[in-house]
Amino acid sequence: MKQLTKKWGKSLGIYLALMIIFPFVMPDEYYRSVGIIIGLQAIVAIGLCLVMGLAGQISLGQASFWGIGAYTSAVLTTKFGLTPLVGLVASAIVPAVFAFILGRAIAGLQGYYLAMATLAFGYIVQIGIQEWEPVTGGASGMISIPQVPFFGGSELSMYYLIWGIVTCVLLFSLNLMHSRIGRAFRAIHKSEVAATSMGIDVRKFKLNAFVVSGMFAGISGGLYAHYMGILDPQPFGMHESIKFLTMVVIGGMTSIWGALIGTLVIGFISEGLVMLSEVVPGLQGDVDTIVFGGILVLIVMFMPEGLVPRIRSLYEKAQAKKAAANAEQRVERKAAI
Amino acid sequence: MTTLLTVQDLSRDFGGVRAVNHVDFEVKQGEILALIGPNGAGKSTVLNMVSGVIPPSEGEIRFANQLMTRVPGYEYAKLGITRTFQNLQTFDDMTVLENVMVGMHTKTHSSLFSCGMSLTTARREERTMQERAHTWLEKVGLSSLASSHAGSLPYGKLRLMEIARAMVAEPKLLLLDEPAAGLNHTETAEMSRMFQEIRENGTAILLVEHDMDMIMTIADRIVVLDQGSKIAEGTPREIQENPCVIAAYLGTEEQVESRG
Amino acid sequence: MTELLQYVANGLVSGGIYAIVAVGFITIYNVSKVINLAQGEFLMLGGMVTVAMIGMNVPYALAAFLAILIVTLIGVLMQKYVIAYVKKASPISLIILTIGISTLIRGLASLIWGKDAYSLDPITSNQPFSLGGVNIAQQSVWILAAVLIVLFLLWYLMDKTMLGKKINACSVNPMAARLMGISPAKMSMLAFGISGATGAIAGIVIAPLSVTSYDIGVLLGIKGFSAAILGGLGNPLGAAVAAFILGIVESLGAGYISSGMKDAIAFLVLIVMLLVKPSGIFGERSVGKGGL
Repeated sequence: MKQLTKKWGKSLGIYLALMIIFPFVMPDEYYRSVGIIIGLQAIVAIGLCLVMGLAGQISLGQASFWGIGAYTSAVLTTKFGLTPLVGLVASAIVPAVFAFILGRAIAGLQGYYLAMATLAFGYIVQIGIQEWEPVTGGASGMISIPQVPFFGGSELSMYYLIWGIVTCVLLFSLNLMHSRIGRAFRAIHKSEVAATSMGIDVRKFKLNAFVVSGMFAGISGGLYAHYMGILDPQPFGMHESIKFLTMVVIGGMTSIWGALIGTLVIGFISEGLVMLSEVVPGLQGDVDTIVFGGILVLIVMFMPEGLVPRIRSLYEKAQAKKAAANAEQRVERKAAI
Repeated sequence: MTTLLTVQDLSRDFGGVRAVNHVDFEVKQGEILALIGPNGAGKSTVLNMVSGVIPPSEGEIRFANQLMTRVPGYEYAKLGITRTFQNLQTFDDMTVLENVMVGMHTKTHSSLFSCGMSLTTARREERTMQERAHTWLEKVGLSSLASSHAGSLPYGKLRLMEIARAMVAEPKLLLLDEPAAGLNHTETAEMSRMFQEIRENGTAILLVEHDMDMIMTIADRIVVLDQGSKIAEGTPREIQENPCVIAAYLGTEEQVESRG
Repeated sequence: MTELLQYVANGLVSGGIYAIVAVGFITIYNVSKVINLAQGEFLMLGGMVTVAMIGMNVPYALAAFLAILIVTLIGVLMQKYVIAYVKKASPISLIILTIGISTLIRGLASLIWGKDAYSLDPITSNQPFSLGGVNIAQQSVWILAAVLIVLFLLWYLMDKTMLGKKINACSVNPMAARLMGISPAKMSMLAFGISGATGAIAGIVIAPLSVTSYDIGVLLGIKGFSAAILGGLGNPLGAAVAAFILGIVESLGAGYISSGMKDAIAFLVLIVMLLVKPSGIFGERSVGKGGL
């Protein structure tokens, strides 16, 4: 256990160091904004990881909670003149309520039913945003959403605000994973029968995971709205939901760190594709969709556990080999004496 | 001795096939009751009904004077019934210690929020859980493997881990589904001693097992099932002498022994 | 009254398309216990490949035929090289896999054909005809005819031929089927091929009526799945009936409530159905319920 916390401390140290120095290594405003967006996506991905990797559920509509969060805060601040802080609190609560209602309804569903129900929910939300024009501005969207008054709202201060929140979400999830609640989630994933026999209310725990993930996505959505200043329904559809799914799957569903690493990987790929499209003029359509789809297929086929767990098990194997070699040497030395 | 568990007129159908047919028996406080019978006699099905995994088609199960038929499966542990599984249900990606700690779910109460925030109460509870889990790992002899991944353990060790996981919940009734399967003679003898100790400390045991040595040594009473129906009940000595049982079950004992 | 009949007529046409998608889901599910979330992409490919071929001056009928052939082949290859590869994957992995395939196909389609919507000439004239005051596009008749023929052929294949019996054997008991010398892998490949072919046909006949583009597959996929669940997964006849009902309900909703809400209505039906009776109106077979 002590070893575990120590290892954990090391990853955390590396993470904090990289996160803090990034804006100075990349002083360009553009890269800071890319960093901000990646941070926002990481919050959603970590929440999705709690649902998928830990509780073993699937959600193909995570972007809709993101959207609900974004529109909640945007509407409250622009139409009702509330401060962004109140808006942000609401953007955590409202999606969580939606997740609770949806989750309660579908907590008994599994597998394909769940996949389709969340996919359908995602569509309903996007259609709802488009059709509820008087409030959401419909397809043309909303403008002049106020900024979060955090150290003047410069790009740099927003970067630290958002990555500070990412860090909180990350720590919360890591703590959770190594607590009775997290163990209950993981137990459900492995065997619902055994979990039940140990007194774990499977439905309730699945619902809890769903609500927390909805809340994380909502917080991220609210921040997104205030950071961007404008909103339209386009980024809250299936394309984005699949993107979140890909982040979690590539990093390793069962690992919170995996969700973070997955978000970074997809972030790099997306940036790479943007550059590529500037170089190759004829590149039309959603090239990133091809990449996401390809990654999903290849990961399931060749590395179903995902990047972080794979690297960890390789590392552990190497350590074990080293330990075995050391022990052998010791025996030989003893024999020599 | 007071009665802990009463099973009355219990039946279970699987798609028109009757797996368990009007079975009655009782488990008294602090006794070991063995449920035996040839393969396919319905022993595991009875255990699955008593542990709330599957509902009975007919009949009643009462535990500590409470009718269990309508109690949801996850309430069983809190009321005092825990179990192990014949086809091991372990959490392979967790460590042995974590596996056992899951067993203490009903004994702990930290909320999702306090766990995520790692509040003092949650941390204190986590420490207590670790200590208690370690105590039980010591009792089953797995202390040295506490931080190994369960997936890397051999079969026999996993059986012991499941017992520790079921016992940390401090049940009144422990259900064991073939705990000695796949164990060698010494391991079985050790396990028998452990079960006797568990009984001494006040936990009743309902045991499904094929190993006759173990049953004859530790069981206070035996219920014999054959093709879903109860054909005999009594002390080990009575069962050994019962002609019905000899015909239905002990006739195959040679096979059982040669297999072990 | 005429208005109502008009909506019902429109609903029947889209219901027919959903029926083909739903039956496609079931054909694959019955044999391999996989829900192919890329089912909708078969329709998209059918329409788009035909459009592309005609753009290359291939005659209409030949273009349609080649498109069906190509999509069938895609279905078979998908089973052989991807689905069969991960035979022992968990359900959640299979979902991710088929979602991945669907995303990949959609992305490739957008790369090849762009994001524009294309339209296909109707099989016969563009001129609608009137039947008791209800306006009916000639293409609608073609669609319904194609749907009924496809459904009939599928029924005939499954219920009346030796091949159908083999496929059914795999669905009921793969182990016994293997002992009888039937290869479940081959039957599974066949099922993907059939789903590809029927999907492509549906995609081609619907293209003249509603334009086709790279992203039409998702919606059609979800709606077909809704119908498959409504009808009780595993029951093709129930699914077909449910598909027509779904099409009509959706059309009435679009007509009387709001056309923008048309798709939301279908999804609401799906979610409500999942909550109330996941085993469907006509079927008792359940999937996704984890047993012991």
